[in-house]
Amino acid sequence: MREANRTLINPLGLHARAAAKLVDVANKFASQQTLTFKTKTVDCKSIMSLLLLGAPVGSDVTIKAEGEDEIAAIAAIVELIDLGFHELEDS
Amino acid sequence: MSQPSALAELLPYAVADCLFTAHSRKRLLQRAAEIVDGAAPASALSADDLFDHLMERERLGSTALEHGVAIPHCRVSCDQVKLAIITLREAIDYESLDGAKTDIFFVLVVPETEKTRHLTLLAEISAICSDQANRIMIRNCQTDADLLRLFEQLSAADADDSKQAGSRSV
Repeated sequence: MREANRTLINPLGLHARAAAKLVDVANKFASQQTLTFKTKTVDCKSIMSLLLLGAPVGSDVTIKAEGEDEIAAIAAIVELIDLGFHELEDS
Repeated sequence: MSQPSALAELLPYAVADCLFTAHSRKRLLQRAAEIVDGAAPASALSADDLFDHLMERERLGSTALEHGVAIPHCRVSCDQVKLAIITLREAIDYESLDGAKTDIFFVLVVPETEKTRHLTLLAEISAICSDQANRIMIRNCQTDADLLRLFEQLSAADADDSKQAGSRSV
């Protein structure tokens, strides 16, 4: 199991489009991946669950991945979050 | 802070169309724009403008979630968030991530300046729709009034759940 902590930096937080991008990335990996915000932990492959977190900009989140490709999975999700879900330039 | 949920606050101004018949995304969004505009005719935006904004957002990627639920939305210059709840008689293909056809739509028109309230709304809508029993009740609604009344009940129940989860002892 791999784990990383990150802060959401895109101004709109984990809104619908960002959550959809996270699901797209998560689905590329066989590992089970979760995102934790405050007391809730959800599956990164379910957009409805990700939106349920209601995580705004500045949220401290924990990403966990478990499975054969967990290292690559964590790296890909961390990259997406650090790049502000590719929306820093247009928001 | 003992306050009503964001969804509960919005519901008195929300509009609904229960068991609408649409065979395409375009028709669904036209109907959404019509009823949102009809509820707030003083708005600077016409139904045509709203439709264009909603379509533009869909082109960036479908707003379908899972389990037959979608959240078409757009940001426009307006004073407050507007919500329309639409259910379809027959589900349509909305390019959902789980491949399921979609028949429950929450249409949100959000002020451009608004940063966090829509996240709370999306979280509340997702919490309600994650529950299969709730989705069945939504699909069983027969009239617009039924649909709005159901959401008043569900949003109140959802707020109670989050209190129990420890945000505040009453």
